[in-house]
Amino acid sequence: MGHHVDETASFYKATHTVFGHHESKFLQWIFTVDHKRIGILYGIVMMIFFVVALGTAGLMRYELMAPGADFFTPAGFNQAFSLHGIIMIFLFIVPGIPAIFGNIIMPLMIGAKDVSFPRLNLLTWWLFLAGASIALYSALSGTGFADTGWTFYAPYSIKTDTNVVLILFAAFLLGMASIFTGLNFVVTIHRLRAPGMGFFKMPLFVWGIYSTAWIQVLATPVVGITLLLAIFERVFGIGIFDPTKGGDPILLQHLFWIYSHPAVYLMILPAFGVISEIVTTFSRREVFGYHAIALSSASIAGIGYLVWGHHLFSSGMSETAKIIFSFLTFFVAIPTGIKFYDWIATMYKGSIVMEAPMLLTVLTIITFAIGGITGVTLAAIGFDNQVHDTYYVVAHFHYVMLGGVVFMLFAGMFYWFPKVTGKMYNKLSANISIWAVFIGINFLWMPMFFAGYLGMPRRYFDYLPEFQIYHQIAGIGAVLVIGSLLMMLWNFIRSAKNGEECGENPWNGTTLEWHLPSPPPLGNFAKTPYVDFRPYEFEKGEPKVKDVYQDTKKETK
Amino acid sequence: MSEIIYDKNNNAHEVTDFNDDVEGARQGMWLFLFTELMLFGGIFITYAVYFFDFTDDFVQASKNMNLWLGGLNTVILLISAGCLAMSVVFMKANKVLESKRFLLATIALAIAFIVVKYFEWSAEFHHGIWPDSPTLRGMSDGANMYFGLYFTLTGLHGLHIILGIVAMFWVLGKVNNGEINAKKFIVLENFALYWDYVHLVWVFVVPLFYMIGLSTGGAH
Amino acid sequence: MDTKEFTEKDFQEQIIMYGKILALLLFLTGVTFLQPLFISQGLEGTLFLQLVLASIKGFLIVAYYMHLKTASDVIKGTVYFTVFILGVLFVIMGIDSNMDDSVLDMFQAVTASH
Repeated sequence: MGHHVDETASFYKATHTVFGHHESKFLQWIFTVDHKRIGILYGIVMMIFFVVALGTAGLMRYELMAPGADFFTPAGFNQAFSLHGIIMIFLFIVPGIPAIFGNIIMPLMIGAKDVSFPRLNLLTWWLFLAGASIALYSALSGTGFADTGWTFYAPYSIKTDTNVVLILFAAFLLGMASIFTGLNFVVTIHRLRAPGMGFFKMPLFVWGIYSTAWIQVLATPVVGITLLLAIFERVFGIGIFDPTKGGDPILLQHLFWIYSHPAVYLMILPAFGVISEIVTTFSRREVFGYHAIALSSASIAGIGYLVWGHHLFSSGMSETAKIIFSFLTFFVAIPTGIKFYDWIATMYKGSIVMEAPMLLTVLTIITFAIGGITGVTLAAIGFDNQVHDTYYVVAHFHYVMLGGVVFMLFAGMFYWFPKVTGKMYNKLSANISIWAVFIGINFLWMPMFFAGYLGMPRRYFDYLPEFQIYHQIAGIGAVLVIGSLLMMLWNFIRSAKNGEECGENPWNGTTLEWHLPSPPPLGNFAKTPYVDFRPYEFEKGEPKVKDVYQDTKKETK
Repeated sequence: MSEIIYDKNNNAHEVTDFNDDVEGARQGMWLFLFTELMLFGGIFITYAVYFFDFTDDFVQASKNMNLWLGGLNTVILLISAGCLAMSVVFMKANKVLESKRFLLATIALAIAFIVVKYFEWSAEFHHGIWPDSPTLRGMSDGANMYFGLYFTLTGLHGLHIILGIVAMFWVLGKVNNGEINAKKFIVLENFALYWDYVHLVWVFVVPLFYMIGLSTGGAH
Repeated sequence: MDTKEFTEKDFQEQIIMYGKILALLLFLTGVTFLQPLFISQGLEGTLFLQLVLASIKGFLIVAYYMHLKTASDVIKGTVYFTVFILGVLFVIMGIDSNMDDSVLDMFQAVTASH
């Protein structure tokens, strides 16, 4: 290397790269091995794809405002919902919080100087970018984007003539990126916690990331092999999923959901971690039931591994397996419920400060509860047979995904935006957009519960006239949701440039990242702190432990 | 030099340096092997399901396997894993030349494995058996599944061997320029873990694909 | 960090240990391929014997070649955990393949008798 890099300068000003020293700012960014920059790189790519998928959803809602073909051809509509699903799942929600905040914040929270394998970390971003580019390329070339939905069910996925192989390969690469990110985080949390920080002194967000990372490591390879088998099926005709050769298409569903169900916990657990951080900070109170929240994350990860069969209740599965899966699915609601009560108990008698992150979190607790409870109804085999593949499931899924994961991603953005940029977002704009998105989500998906219960199937580009009212109410909601999410993004872009300076700890947070300057220096802690305090210690509404960074700085030569 | 910090009682604590963390690198490698285990585990689950559905067809199809080539490859892989283990031990004892010789022997055996595999697949192609071939489509459903899984599993396994060979040349380069030495041999050690894992997969491929055809049952 | 000195004695011990394991594995491989000749068995017997042999070999490889025996508790724990998870997946898939509709039949038998 040879080139001297100032470890105490802001990470925007100085960086380590994977090889050599680059004059160009652009090269310094794309070859950086600094966890904070890599998190931002992930964030930028993800947000671009998020807007694309959001736009696609908007166009689908526009198509559905009236019965009959208005905008899409039927085949085009199939491609549109596949594009929406694949981008949202594989490029946005699955990597989402771990890749952005897991990268930027987690090492700061445990007092580490970086993740365990910084170069591997950069490689995951490049794999992610490669996967994203292939997905984009498949949409623009040849027979166009896959029309299989994001689930790639056989035998249709092995017969359709759209670009399925490309998108399967893209998903495989994204899976690899996810595996290596998880691997990196597990080792980081095992090895690089500051001295004194036992497992039960870690902030709860770190617990969320830790559970998530295990799912990434152990579940993602199963979908990897499923995607590979599906690719081999299309390219070589090995027949594993092809009933004309004796293969079993249901097996693809099994293998797919062995991953993809844990994947929904992989999406939600880091979001739960963000909730725990925000609720505690803005209630100015030590979190209620720290151990219960931490261990419920781990048990959700464990039980969540064993419930995939509830996606196959109507696919043809033995009754015994159905009953086991149904039972386990009900069971997974318990640790989730424990978390909810703990958060509410934390807020109880706290001195709550309703800043934007807290407002969004409280509203998320409502929307996620709606999504979660309707999810429990779906675990009942009989009811599931009635509403399987209807708008009821669509509504449930979007309440937990948008109203849980995406809301918390944005809440996390509001919460850590001052830390990462050193600037404050526009508070008025934030509050308006948060209320708008909350009203929007209820307009958009509440009617779908009813439409689905009455028999409106999902993924159809047309419908019977009596369903029109539900689609029109949903259309209004869609405008609100899309508008307010774009408003939030615009708020971040504009405030990063000309927001007010915010200082190191605008929220009175207690975890280690709030002891650092905003934005943090390249080397994070000039001197590693000794952690002999719990993560959330408040005294009379003020953080008890103050200015760890100042102490650690003084002692350096 | 690791950083040392002190708590309130002035006890010293060593801070783990992520640039030089042998235990961390070891854990990382094991985690990677777990993902590999789940990857191959997916194929083995698929095997179990179809074996259950088409037991007799599987036994019949297995009789097409060439046990001599399969056995030869088993021994080759076994000895190669032994060589690599020796390479690590010699490196630890600072006997770099011997270590390098054992590494080269491992590379040679790995290449031999691929060559044998090439002949094995060629023989099957010669009999008209490859995925989606007219001969195979004319055979039973179970035979289709058996060979579908056989080519997928041994193909992926072969790919791991080839990637292993590439990685071994990279490791050899590091031994040559002294980056791997008697004090820092974690890369070599981690690679040996990978190689043992590849060997482990093969240990389970043998009974499931080669040996079931020798049972007295399933012939009816 | 491996701070312990690697002595000539350790070296000799490890060479002998790896040599012994290699010989044992070669012997077991011989048994694997010769088993059908010596103890001719039906499919179930063959599969059982073969998988037992493979598991013994697997155990030797993991314990000695991959030196799990001397690895840290974190690594040991995660190995057990991963094998357990994989085992559970097999069991559940096995239940689905094996049990068919026995519970449904049971319910129907009960309702039919009323």
